[in-house]
Amino acid sequence: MRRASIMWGLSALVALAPVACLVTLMVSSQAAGQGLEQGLAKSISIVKVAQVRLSGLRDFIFQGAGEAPAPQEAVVCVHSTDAGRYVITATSHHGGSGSFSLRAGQAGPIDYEVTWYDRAIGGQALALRSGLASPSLSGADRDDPTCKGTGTARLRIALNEGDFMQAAPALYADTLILTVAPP
Amino acid sequence: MSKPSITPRLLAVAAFVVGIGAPLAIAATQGNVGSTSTGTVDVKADKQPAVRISGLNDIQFAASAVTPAPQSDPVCVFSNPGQYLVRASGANANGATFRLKDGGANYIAYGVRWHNAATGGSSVDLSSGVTSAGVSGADQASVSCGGNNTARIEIILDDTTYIAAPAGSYSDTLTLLVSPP
Repeated sequence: MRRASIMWGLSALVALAPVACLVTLMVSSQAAGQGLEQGLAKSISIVKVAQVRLSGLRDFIFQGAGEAPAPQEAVVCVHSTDAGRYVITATSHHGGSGSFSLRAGQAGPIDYEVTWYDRAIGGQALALRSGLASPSLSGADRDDPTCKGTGTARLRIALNEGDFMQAAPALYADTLILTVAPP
Repeated sequence: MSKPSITPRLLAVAAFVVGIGAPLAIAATQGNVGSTSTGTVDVKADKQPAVRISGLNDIQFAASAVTPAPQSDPVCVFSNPGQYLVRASGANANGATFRLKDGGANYIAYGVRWHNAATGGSSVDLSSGVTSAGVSGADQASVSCGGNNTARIEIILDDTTYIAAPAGSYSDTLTLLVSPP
């Protein structure tokens, strides 16, 4: 977070009234009791929280008949103005406590694993649990919400081999909700 | 008269049929810039019907001057749709007729009977290269049938051609293909 503190004279504050009406009202109220003629200096503060963005996401489509298809990875863009740090939370719509699951109506589940890497290539692998925030990660793009068209992390999905092999033929699906936040 | 040695060999082929499914809509959503940012991805697994045949062994008839009794070999058929189709193709077949062949141009015809259980069950006589009707009884949960067998193949040597055949060693390669119905 970055804290901005600006000291202004009252006359300057009045000039900014259209864009800072809440602050102006506060100053006017205090000024009424103390006298405008005193020309008090007031502190105007704003807390600018870190901004983050997750983008570059794509769907994961697996097809297979016998053994589980090979895991898939997707490079994604994570932007964080908090020195490139962030936490990631992945939540499975069909998963149970901590688990990620695909379902086809009442059929299934086919469980799957979600692994997060804090780099587009290489990086530290982190096995996620549904609904649980990760530890603080680094490597996000600090400046550009679009990561300058590249990726800063990647997501890996691996289907459970046994579940897939034993699953009845059907289209199994889940919605995976990914949220990034400052640490 | 020397006793002929007849060695049918079985070659199994399991068919894993992967169909071309309907196009799957893209639904991923991207996060916006903010104090937190949330995106979603769809994860989908299009599970196609799967089958497997395993546990096959070569069938070796003992040398005999007279037609040997039929021999059976239990096998494991996994099919997650439950039913399956089976097709047997003989390398030396003449049309739909399975045949063993010696080193020359002599043949012994044989029949292939498919049973839908390791013991008992119902059976169907197969013709070379012809796919059967739907067969039930496959293991739907375990690709290895949990170490058991769910079907058996029976080889029946034709008495007429066996008796008429000159002494020698006869063999064939039988290719078995199972597929989802």
